Amino acid sequence: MNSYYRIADHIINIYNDGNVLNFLSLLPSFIPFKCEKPVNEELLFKLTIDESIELIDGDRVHRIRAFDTGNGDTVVDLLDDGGYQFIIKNIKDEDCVLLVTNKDFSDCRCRLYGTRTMQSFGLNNALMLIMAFAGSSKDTILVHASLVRHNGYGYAFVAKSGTGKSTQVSLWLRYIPNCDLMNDDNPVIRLINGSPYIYGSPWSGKTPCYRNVKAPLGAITRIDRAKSNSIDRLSPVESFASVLPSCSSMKWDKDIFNNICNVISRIIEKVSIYTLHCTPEKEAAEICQKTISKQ
Amino acid sequence: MRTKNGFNLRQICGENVIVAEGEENIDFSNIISMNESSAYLWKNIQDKDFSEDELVKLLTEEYDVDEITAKSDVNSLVKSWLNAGIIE
Repeated sequence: MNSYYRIADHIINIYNDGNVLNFLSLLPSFIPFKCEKPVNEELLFKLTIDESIELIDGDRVHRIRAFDTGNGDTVVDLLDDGGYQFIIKNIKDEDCVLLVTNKDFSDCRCRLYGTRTMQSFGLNNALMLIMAFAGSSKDTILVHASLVRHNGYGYAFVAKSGTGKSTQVSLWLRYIPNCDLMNDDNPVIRLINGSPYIYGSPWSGKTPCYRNVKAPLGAITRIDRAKSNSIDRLSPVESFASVLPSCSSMKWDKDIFNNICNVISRIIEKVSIYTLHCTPEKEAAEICQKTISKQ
Repeated sequence: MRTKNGFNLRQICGENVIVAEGEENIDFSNIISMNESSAYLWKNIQDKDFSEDELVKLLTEEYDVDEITAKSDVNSLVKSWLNAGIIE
């Protein structure tokens, strides 16, 4: 079984040798992104689902760390060939997927474990992780954000989980004309000929909003809960410091981290970055829209 | 004294910042803003041992500044670098 998907105008390939596992049913959020086998386009990455791979241990691995993602730990090991090994666990600390990648994440293999729910969780998260790191060398980053489209531009809202990204976007959808939700958790930003575009993705957190849509990036705004509403445009250095922690990155890999920093730096040369101090009320969205809207 | 590993100077829209990278800096999430003269010093001492006297020498060679002013500037700069945790 061999499937192709177009995400942020990159082609990804998922391959499964044999008929043991029908992985399509594990990836319902990928259906809008499915495409035919491309003729002349290069693959961003290939993921082979391979039930025969084994955990690599001993001298070949160097443990980077087990990261708490909020949905379970992800264990990261550096391999002696420069690639990585990830074990993605769920909230019950059960192994859901073993993922082995090469250095630039263009060629990956994974093995799924457990129930179909666990396999689905593992495969979705493995794909998100590969997308973030394979994309970095192709001017593409994943950002933890809620994304609204307004008059043709995409406006991304970032904040730590629970601060009110989705709340701000729901205020736009309710009170500001010509708005629609593009993604609610992990959109993709890509520079095309130097201009930043933002795309919907198969990863949208708790909101089932999996849309293969694209818009020029209008602004990125950090949400800061406050007693009254105001908005600041950030300096370049503040902008960089605000956007970097919201992007999927890996500080321990110099090449990938450097790529991600460069992409962010080029985004903020083109697009304004703001902090919105806000209450969860209509007025916050109105003040924000007046300031950040391109039209 | 010595600059810590992985604290690299980057240019963001023409401004100088230090961004930490590397496995040993996973938990260091601050971005350090540098003016032109401190960025010049950083470039010259990165990944080397250095003393305040060397910084003073570098400053007086490059800028039109007397030694007493340079010494006092270097002294406060080194304190702020120590506070920021980017030198040891």
